[in-house]
Amino acid sequence: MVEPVVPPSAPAPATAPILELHNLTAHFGHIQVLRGISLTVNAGELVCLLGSNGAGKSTTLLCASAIHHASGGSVRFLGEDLTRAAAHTVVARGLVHVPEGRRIFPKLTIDENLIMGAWLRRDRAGIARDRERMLDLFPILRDRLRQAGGTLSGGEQQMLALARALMAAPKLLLLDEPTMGIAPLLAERIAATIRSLNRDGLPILLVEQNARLALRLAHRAYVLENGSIAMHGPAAELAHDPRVTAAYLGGEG
Amino acid sequence: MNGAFLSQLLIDGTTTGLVIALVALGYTMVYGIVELINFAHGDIVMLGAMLFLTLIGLLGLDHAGQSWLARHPWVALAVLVPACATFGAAVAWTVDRVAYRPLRHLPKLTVLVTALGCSFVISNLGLLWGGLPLAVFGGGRAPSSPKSVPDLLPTLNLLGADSVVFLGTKEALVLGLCLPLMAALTWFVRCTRLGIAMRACAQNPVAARLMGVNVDALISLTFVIGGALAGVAAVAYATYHGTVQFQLGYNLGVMAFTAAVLGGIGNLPGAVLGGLVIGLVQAATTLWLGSDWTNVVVFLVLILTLVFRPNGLLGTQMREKV
Amino acid sequence: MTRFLRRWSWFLVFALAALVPLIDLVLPARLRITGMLVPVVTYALVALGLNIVVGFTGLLHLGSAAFMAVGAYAFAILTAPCFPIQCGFWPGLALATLAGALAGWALALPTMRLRGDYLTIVTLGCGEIVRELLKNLEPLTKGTQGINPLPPPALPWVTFTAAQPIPFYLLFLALLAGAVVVCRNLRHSATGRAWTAVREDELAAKSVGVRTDAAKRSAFTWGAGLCALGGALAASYSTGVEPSIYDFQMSVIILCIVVIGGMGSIAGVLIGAVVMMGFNQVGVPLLTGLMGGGAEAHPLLDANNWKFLIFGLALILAMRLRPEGLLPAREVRAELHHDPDESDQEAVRAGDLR
Ligand SMILES: Nc1ncnc2c1ncn2[C@@H]1O[C@H](COP(=O)(O)OP(=O)(O)OP(=O)(O)O)[C@@H](O)[C@H]1O
Ligand SMILES: [Mg+2]
Repeated sequence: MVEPVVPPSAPAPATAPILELHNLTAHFGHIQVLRGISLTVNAGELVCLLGSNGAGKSTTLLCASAIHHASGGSVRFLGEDLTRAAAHTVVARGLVHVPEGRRIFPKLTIDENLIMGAWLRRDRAGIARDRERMLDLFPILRDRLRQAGGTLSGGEQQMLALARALMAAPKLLLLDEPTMGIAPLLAERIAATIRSLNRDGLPILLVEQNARLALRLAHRAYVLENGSIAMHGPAAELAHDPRVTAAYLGGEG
Repeated sequence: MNGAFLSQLLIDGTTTGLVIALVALGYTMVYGIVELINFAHGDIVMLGAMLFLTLIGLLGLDHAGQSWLARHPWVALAVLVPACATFGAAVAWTVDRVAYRPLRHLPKLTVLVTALGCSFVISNLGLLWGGLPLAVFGGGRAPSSPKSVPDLLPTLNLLGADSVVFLGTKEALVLGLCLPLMAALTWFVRCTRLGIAMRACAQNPVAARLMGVNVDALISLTFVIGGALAGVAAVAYATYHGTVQFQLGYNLGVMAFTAAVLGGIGNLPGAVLGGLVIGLVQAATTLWLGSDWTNVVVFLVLILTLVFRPNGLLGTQMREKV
Repeated sequence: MTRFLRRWSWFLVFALAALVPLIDLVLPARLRITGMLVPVVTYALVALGLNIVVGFTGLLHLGSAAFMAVGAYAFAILTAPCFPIQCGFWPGLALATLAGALAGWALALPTMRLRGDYLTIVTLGCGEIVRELLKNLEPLTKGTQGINPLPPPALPWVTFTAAQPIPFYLLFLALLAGAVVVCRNLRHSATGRAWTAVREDELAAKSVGVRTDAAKRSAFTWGAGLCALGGALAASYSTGVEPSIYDFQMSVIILCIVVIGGMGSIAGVLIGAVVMMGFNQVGVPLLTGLMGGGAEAHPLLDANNWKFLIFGLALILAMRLRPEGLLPAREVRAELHHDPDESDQEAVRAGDLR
C-alpha cells in the first residue's frame, strides 16, 4: 500500500539558515560516529533526518544541542558558533532538543514539568500564556496537572516532553523519534501537532524511524548512513527515490 | 513508668533528634542530587561548632555579664547563628568546588574516597583549630580533648519552676532553630522555581540541562544550603550538648547519615523522620541501658528496618547509577 | 625472557621481599626497617580480604576493621593466658580466621537485599556495633583495657621475640604469599566469575542464572576470613588487643589501601599497603622529627596531629590524578579512561531507563 505523499501546504521559504552543521565529526572514545556531516535547516522549514539504527542520527542532534561536543566541524545557530558551547547556554539562545526516549521528570508533577521547560524565561505573562496554549494543544495534560509525570503512559509522556520543550519558546526544535513506541493513532496525532507547529513558523529538525511519516511531514530530508550523509533533497523527491523506498519504506514505493 | 517520665524522654529525644535531622537533611539533599555520601558533611558541622566556640571567646560571651552582648545572649545568638551558617555554606561550597566537581564524571567510588579524604582533612583542621591558644580551648594544650561550651542562655524551666518535666532554654533554642528551618526548606524545595529545578536535576540531570538548567550551579546551591544547615546545626549541637570536639563530626555525621538512610535517602521528610527516630531511640537507650549501648541499638534498629524496608521508611525504589 | 618474568614475577617479588631483612644487617639499629615492614604485611593481608568484597565483587564495604577485630579478639580469647582455653598459636589462628569468616557470613545474611549505599551504611553500622560490643562486653573482652599478653607464633627451631621482628616478618610474608595464591585461584574459579558478574551488572548476572546472593555471601565470607587472619597476626605481633584500634578510620585506611593500590588488582593491593603503611610507619615519625616536635613540644608540632590532614590530601590528590589506583586491574582502567563527553552520553542513555 502506498500512502499519498501530501505536499506540505506552505512551500518552505528558502531564506536565512537557522541551523548549519558544517562537516561535523563526532567520536565516542576512539570510535568515530559522525564522519563529516553538513546539514542546514532554514527558517520555517521542517527537515527530517533518516537513517538506520546506529547511523548517528541521535548523535547529530546531541552535537547540535552541545550535550555532546563534536570532535571537528562546526555548529552554527542563528549565525552564532555553538560548537563548544555549554549545553545550558544553547537553550537560552532558542535551540531546544527533545531527546530520544522518555525524558520527563518522573517525580515532578506535570505542571512542574512544564514550569521546568520555561526555566530560562523571565516573562511571567508569556509563560502563563504558553502554558495555556500547551494545555489546549494537549488536553490530556490539563486533566492531570497535579499528577506525577512518571504516572503518564508512554505516549502521554512524549506529549509532555514536547509540550515542555515548547514552553522554552524555541526558535528551533530538535525532535528525536517523537513517535517511538507509540500506537499508530497517537503517532498520527503527534505528527499532526508537529506539522501545525511548523506551519505556525517554527523550524524543526526531526529524526524519525518511521520514514513514511517523516517524509510526509517534511519539506526536505537527509539520509544518514554510517555517519555521513548519503542523500538529501526535497522530501517529496526522496519519497520516490528507489534507494530510499527500498531501504526505508519497505519495498517498491 | 509515669507520664512525666515519658514526656521527658520525648522532649530529650526530640531535641537530640532534631539536631541530627538538620544534619541529615544536608546529607540527603546532596545525595539526592549527586548520589554521594558526603562524608565531609559531619565534619563541616564540627568546624562550625569550633567557629561558634571561637566567636564566643572572641566576643567575650564566656564571661557572663561582662559585655553588652553577654548580657543579651539572644542578640548574640542572632549574630552567631548566621555567622556559622555562612561559614558552613562557604566550607561546603569550597569542598564541592575543589574536590568533588572535577570528578563528576568518574565512578561513585572515586568520589566517595575523595569525600573520605575531605572528611579526614576537615576533621584534622578541627583538631588543629582546637590547638589554638585560646582561653575557650583551654589554652590549646590538648587539641583532641573535648572543649566545654559556656552556657549562653540562662538555665530555667520554661514549663514552670516546679514542673517535673524539664524544657529548658537550650531545648527551646534547638526547637526554635530547627522547626522553622525545616519548614522553610520544605517550602523552598516544594514551591519555588529553584526548588523544582533542584528536584528535576536529582531525577534526571541530562534532561534538566536540556531545559537550560545550569546543573553545576544547582549542585553548588545544594551544597551551600546543606552547609548552611550544618552551620546552624553546629550552634544547636554545641549549645545543647555543651561540648565540642574534633571527632564530633564523625559521631554526629554517622548518626545523621544513618537517619537519612533510615528515612529513605534522598527524601527530605524521611531525613527528619529518621532523625527523630534516632533521637528517641538514643534517649530511650541511654535511659534504660546506659549510653554505652546507644550506638549498638541505633545500628540494630537501622539494620532491622532495612531488612524489612530495604529503601528506608519513606523511600521508594532506589535507582542505581553504575 | 619476558614470558619467564611474567610467569615467575610473583615468585620473584616474594623472594626479593624475603631478602629485605638482609638490609638490616648493615644498617645501624636505629634505622632497621623490618619492624616497620611487619604491619605492611598484616595490612596487606587484611586489604586482600577487603579487595575480594570491594574489588572483585564491587560491594562497598566500610566495616573491614570489624572483621580484623573479630579475628584479633577470637585469637586473644583462645590463646591469652588470662583465659582458660589457651589453645596455642596455630589452632588459635585457624579458629580466629574461621570466626571472622563466620562473622562475614552472618553480616551478609541481612544485607543481601540491600543495594548500593544502603549496603555501605550497614557495613559501617556493623563496624560500629562490633567496636561498641568489644567495649561493653567486659567479661569476654576486658572492655577498654583490652587483652594481653598474647602468644607469639610457635615453630620448631625458631623463637619469636618482640625484640626480633625478622622471624615474624618472614612467617607473615609466607602467609601473605599463601593468601595471594588463594586470591588468584579464587578469582579464576567459578565463584570468582560469579563475583565479577555481580560487579559488572547484578541484574544481568541474575538473569543469566548466576546465584548472586550466594556470590555476595561467599565474597563477604572469604573477605572477612582474610581480614580476621590479618587481624589475628597483627594482634599476635603487638602482643595485645584493644577496642579503640578498630575504629572507622582503620576501615577507611584499609579501603584506601585497596583503592590507592588499584581495586581488584592483587598486585595493586600489595603496593597500596606498602605506600599507605610506609607513610604511617616511616613518613609520620620522619615528619615529627622535621617539625621539631616531641613529647614536650607544643601539640601542634606533633606530626601525629597532622597525619590525617596529609593523609586526606593525599587521598584527594590520588583520586584526582590516578583514580584507577597505582596498579589497576585491566577492566577498571578501561572504565576510567574515556573522555568526559562520553560519560555525558552514557548519562543520556542511562536516563532512558529511569
Ligand atoms: N555513549 C556511547 N558510547 C559509545 N558508542 C556510542 C555511544 N552512543 C552512541 N554510540 C554509537 O554511536 C553510533 C550512533 O549512535 P546514535 O545513537 O547516534 O544512532 P541513531 O542513528 O540515533 O540510532 P537509533 O535509530 O537506534 O536511535 C552507534 O553505533 C552507537 O553504538
Ligand atoms: Mg537515536
